[in-house]
Amino acid sequence: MRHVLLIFCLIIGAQAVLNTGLQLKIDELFDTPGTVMSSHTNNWAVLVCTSKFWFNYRHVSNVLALYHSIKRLGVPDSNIIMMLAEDVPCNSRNPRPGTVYAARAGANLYGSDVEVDYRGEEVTVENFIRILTGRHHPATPRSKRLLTDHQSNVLIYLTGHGGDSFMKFQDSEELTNVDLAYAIQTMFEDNRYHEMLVIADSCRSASMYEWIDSPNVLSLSSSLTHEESYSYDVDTDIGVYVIDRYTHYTVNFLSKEVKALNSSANMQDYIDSCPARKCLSNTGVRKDHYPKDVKRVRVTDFFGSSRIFQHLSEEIVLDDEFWA
Amino acid sequence: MRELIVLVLVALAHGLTEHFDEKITLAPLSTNELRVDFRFNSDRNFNIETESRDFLTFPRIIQELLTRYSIRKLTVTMAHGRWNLDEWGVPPQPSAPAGAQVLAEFDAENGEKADERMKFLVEALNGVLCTSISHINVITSPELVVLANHGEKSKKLFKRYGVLSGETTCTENLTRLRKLLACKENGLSTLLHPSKLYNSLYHSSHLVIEQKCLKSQCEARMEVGVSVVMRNPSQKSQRHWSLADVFDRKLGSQCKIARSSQIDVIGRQGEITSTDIKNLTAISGEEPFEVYIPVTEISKKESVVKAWSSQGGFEQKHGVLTVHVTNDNSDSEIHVSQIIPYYVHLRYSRIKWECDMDGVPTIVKYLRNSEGGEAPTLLQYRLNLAAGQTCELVIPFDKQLLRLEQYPPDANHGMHIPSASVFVRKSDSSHAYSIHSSAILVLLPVPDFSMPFNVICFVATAFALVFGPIQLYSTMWLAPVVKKSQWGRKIHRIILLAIIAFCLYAHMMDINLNEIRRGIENQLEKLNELK
Repeated sequence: MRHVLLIFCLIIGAQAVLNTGLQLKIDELFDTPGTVMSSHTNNWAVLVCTSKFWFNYRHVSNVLALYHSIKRLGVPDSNIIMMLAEDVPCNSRNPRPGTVYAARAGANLYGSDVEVDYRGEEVTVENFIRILTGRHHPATPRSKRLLTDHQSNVLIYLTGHGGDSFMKFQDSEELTNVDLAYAIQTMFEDNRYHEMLVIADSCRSASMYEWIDSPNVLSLSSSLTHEESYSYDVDTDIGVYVIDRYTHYTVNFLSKEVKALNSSANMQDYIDSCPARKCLSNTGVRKDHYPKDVKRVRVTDFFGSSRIFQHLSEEIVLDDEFWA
Repeated sequence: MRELIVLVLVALAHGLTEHFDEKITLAPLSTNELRVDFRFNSDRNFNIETESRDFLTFPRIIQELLTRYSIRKLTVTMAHGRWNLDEWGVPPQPSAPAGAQVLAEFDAENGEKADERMKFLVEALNGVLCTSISHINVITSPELVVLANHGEKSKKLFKRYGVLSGETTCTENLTRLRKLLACKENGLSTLLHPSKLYNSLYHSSHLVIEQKCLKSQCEARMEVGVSVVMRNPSQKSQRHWSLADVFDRKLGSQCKIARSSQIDVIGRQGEITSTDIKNLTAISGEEPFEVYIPVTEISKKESVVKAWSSQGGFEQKHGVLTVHVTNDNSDSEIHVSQIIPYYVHLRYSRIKWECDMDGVPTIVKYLRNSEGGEAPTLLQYRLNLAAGQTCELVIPFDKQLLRLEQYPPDANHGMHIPSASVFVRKSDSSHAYSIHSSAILVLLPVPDFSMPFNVICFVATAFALVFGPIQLYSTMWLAPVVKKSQWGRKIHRIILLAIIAFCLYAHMMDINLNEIRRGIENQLEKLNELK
């Protein structure tokens, strides 16, 4: 009996050693190792659906599908700013009130765990830029602010109807690519991010990141400047298209390849996840302001969040001013 | 369990007491309509000097709201749909108009501070309840009673009242309300199933919080309520509806910390069958606990004061809002409050009451204008109606052509005038309640945002700019040159003509300005590479 126990312990011990070794090996493949020490300590996401009206159902479900994916990978609700321009779940046209589906036989995306921070007429270009730059009315509650710091990785996801160099908000105003670039530059100057991933899912979306000049920004888009983006799935019961191609394959990739936070899927895998034969449009990538090799960056650096603690070896004295 | 005992002991030692009560009332309204009322009450007695930071079951965020904004009483309601006064009787109290409604009574140093405090309070509510009511039309101090639960008059407090008719209410609001409860995952709150509740004829929810202090001993209260009228709650049985059918889930657990958790079923004659699931032992046993609601028509319908709003007028410029109030079969004192938003202008001199039977009774009226460009107006009237009397408040108004940025994104949809609130007090003052009329949608004159207008403007501008120089240069081109030829001038003209020709070409070929810019940038980059 004792021998069995001993062998058992040995096996477990060996496995633990091997596992850590393996983990270290994996970590060598990445610029931001997940377990030892990382350069970012928190993750934030701004998910924006800019389209009003019921027939733009798919833009709401795009955002919700991505919301659930990043929430599954550990980004808490408090770190996700979600903007939905239309109240689709409780719309009187919805045959199944209180629900949103992103696939014909999918799960309900609008369960009781969803927190929408900006909805309806509050989704404006002004509010979007205020979120990024952090210049709010003092009364604005914490849940509506992007409280990032110099160690935050920020994911900005925009979906809606776009054209060359702009994105339509609410069918009445536009966010231009210059606005977006200025907002990100302001964020950089205020030290409000460490790395940033900008994703635009709309027609001609590659034009959205054209003016971004701030460092450490990786930009992706669903289509090139002269192309349209396409929707994926139609639900005949609901009567509208329920998801866009690019987001469908993004969420698909995240659920299949990125099962947990320590997944070794890298950003190149993600960029390749929607080739032109699937997306029906060429996805755009802009890496020239991103210093790292995307093959050596984990997908979970942007789509997931772990509580990463950094150990300090030096002594820190907190004076009275700190406690005041 | 041990922790609970310790907590209770700590509480006893301090004199801090908190209670949580939950109740659900199920009342069939007709053979295919069921009214469901959830009520969750929390109260907390504490010493403000020693125990303001100790919490047992009372939500801390509510206590922080009460303290931070010195709230005496606050009511927030959200509703969707129309309460059918004819068939369903008195609406759930505090009654909720379509959209969102906020009525706050709080302390402040002066009126300006109170306005600012209200602004912060509305934003804080946005955070607590996941709403988006920043654009709410807030009115200062209503003189008469607006909601039945805010009936007490106090001179010292500041009152602010606002309604936002376009506000939607959905799952995220319900989730936030649920988070305030002491039992979120057990007891009656498990029956708050969004897809069942929102698939209904009418749903409303409210949050009422208040705090009273006597020296250092304070009492804080919170009520969370959800009311729903469901159509055909269950297809399975014709004789009774079961909880599982109605809510699509079973009641499988008890709220251990609740003082009471009660299920009331109202029968045909208005008799109440009450079950306290706190005293049941077999709730989580093999046979699930179940309550059956008999499918009946309520035979004894209570008579109720009725109110509804309608819109008249047939042109773009003027309109008429009419609030109809019909009394029930006994005399009543009635307070009517109507908010008029800034986008319609009132014709004060032509506002009038019209009544049948004995004519117009004596009316006490208050008009209140708030300061500021986009501030609304509040009209309030107090009158006594005889039994069965019908009165109409006729409010003629002018529709405004707004500034471009004041229009909502979907301007052609129209803008709402909130519903009128009608507070009813019986002459013997035994019975008081409030009801709301319907909100109306006003089609405002809208500037033409569409293509033709823009196209005409742009084409006219471009034509004016382009035609002048072309005409000038083409005529001057033909003029005889007396002087020696001026090459510089000719080149200048050729360049200008080339630019114009290019612009015309770009316009004809539908070339985007951004594409031209990109083309130029590419050329410049190539030049750079050549170096």
